[in-house]
Amino acid sequence: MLKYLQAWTPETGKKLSLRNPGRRFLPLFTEFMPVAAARFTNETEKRVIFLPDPINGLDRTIRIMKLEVDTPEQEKLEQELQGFLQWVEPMLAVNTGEAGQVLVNHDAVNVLREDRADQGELADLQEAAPEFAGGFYLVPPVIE
Amino acid sequence: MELRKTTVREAAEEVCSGRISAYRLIEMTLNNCAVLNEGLNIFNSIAGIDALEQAKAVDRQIADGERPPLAGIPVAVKDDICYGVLPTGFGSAAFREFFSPYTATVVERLMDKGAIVIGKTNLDEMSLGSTTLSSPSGPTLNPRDSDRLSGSAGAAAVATGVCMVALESDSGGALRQGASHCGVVGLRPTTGRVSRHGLNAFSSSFGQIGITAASGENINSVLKIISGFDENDASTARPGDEPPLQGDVPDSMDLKIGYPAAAFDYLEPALREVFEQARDEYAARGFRFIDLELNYLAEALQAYYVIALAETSSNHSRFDGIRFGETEKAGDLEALYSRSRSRILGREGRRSSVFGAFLLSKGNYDRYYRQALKVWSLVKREFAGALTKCDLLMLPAVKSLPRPVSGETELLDSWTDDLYCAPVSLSGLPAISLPAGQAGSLPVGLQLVGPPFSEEMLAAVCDRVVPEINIFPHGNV
Repeated sequence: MLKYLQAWTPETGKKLSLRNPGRRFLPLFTEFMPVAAARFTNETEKRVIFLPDPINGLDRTIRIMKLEVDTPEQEKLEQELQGFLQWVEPMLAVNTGEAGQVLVNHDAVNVLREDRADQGELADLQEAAPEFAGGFYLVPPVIE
Repeated sequence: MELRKTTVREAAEEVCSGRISAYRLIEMTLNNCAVLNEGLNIFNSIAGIDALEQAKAVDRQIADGERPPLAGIPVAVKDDICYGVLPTGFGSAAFREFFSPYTATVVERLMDKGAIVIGKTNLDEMSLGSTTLSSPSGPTLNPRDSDRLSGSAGAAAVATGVCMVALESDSGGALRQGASHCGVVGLRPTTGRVSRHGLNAFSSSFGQIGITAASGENINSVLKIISGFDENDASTARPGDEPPLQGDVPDSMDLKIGYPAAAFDYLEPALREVFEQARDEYAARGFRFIDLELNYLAEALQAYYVIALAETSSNHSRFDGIRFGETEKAGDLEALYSRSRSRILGREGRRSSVFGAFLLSKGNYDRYYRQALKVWSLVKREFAGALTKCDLLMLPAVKSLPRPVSGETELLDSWTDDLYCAPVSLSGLPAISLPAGQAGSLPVGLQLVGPPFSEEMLAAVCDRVVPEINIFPHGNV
């Protein structure tokens, strides 16, 4: 589970990617061990650490995807995901040392379309917003 | 005129010559549609008056001296391809009433040449599957055996002769497997040959619009009209990238077919026997076979699913109830998104989005997604390398016979059905699925995979080895 750790310190803006954390990073790792399940923010330390979702807990992934899933469906999803991850194991073992860039069969050229501003119908846009006041859309004051 | 015994070119000539009007041809087609749809559940919507109005317009063009090459040809369009006149449902209950503000390039190009869209065909939820089992409108039954699934509704429409051509999407092989299950021909073109503008693809890398028809000739008649550069799709090949349309196809004696024998070991004995017989028949017609190996078939399938699921989670994020889909009432913005998305995405959509987000999350991205991209590169090189030793590759189109309508299918069983099609999707090469024989009373198809932009050759080879396809005019219902 802990093949990858990433630590970020806002003061320095330093970002560390740690593969198979060894002795050098052990103190950092153990420091956050009790809260390592998903995401930890400590105002005093001002450090954030991200860890992969454990397979048996898809709460965060479901929340990120902005979905509502009931408990039986979530349990089923976790079970299916577990099976899927086992199923793709042979692919992980493929030696990709010689794999190069994925090429297309022809030279694709990005075609830029004309940049046209289209405000649409304001009334239609406002209808989609949950709250609207004084010419502004109202959004939650804090975005996670 | 019997559509099932006529080619696209002949039917269009009949209409242009005035022996039958486009109006009459479409009127007959619509009557058949209504009857067949009751039994097989092929169409999500049928054009009716709109199709008849189009037919009248084609008749007027002919009266004015024009001779459209697809005059009056009835075409079915899968319901994940936008067509402004009919609802485009994407296989989602939330989009049943959605009318796209524009029409896909491929549909526009066909209509410009006189073809008439008669309806939108059924599909799995958001195209996520190759059975139609997860469709909100229920599954499409197989015209050859109504206790089994058709795989794709477009193939069922062609197999019953209700339309001559179907445009369908193909990511992991829905089009090719459907053609195999229904005993017709399905072409997945080279990536970049046909515009995808107007296709609601769950996977941007692999989603492609292909053609299902009853012969290679019919496929060629349509391909030459829908292929080519489209300014709305930057991934289409520009003029000059494609080789000129090929004339005569090389003699059978001059064509070498690569046969990866080990790949056929995954099949059950009944199917393996069909392919061995097919190989013997091809050899008897003068084709030469060479043995070769494809080492990454299973891993290619796994890589396909990792990449496709990752792309699905990204592509489906647009269905938020504000930009796309109905908005659910909620107290705050977060709840609005969650409620709307959970209603728009059904079980398949939610699963794919969650799996994809998981695979893309920190810690999993490199392990799964990046590795899958590298395997993709290896697979592409492996196919390209194989085609330096031969002119065509032969692979099964399906791993099993069409599934029964009733009964549960395990997720991974369903996904491994794509074993022979998904790796070809990764390769970006054109592949044609054509009848190879029968296992019992059910048709079984094989795939011929060719070099980039070799669709015309594949279609011509198909007609050489399968001179006539048995169409079930009323379906086996």
